[in-house]
Amino acid sequence: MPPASEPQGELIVAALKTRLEGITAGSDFWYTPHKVLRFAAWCNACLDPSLGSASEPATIYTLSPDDEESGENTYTGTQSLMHIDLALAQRFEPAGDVDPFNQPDPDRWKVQQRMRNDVRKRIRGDLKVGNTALLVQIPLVDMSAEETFVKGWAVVFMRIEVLYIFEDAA
Amino acid sequence: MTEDRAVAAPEPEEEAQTVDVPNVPLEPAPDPLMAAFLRFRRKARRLSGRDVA
Repeated sequence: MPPASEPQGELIVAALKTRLEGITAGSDFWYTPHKVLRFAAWCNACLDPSLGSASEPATIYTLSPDDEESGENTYTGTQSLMHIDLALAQRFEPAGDVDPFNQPDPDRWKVQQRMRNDVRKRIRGDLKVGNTALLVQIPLVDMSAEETFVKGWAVVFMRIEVLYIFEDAA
Repeated sequence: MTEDRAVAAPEPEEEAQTVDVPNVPLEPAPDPLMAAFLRFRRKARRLSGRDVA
């Protein structure tokens, strides 16, 4: 007997991870991520400063699926809205980087913007997430100093919403 | 006619006892990175109209 097919939510998150792993620095993108992880909640264990080099600092993207809203029912399934939170992090170590409200190096913001731009461009380049969904969107991004300051890293938080039909037969 | 019913003696009321509850959180505190991430998650939920508490 063949095994049951993977749940649609799993397929969507796996497709998003593959999509992010395909980011390659060049004329389209700034940074190639060294790792794309799936974690229940972003934490210290997600960061590995040993990756990368001086010219290509460690860049690690982490996907953390959140809750899901169920909407209208159809004859074949239920409209569902899946929430996924992303943490984008790149090694960033300017001298004297200790105070989030008086950061000595404005480049942290630039790095944050570049990572955000890379991921946004990559995700919006396939709004149906490999034909697993109806639409993906990014309703919230946080790069504020007081919320994202991590010593030694530039960090961005992004929320992704994926609208899809949860098929009854799935 | 009288019923031969045993009547239990009233139980003495239990004295209130003071128990020392150690001030230990139910779950281990997340690391500062996880705390920042969870703050973001709560903000995102609030903005989408859920989890308004």
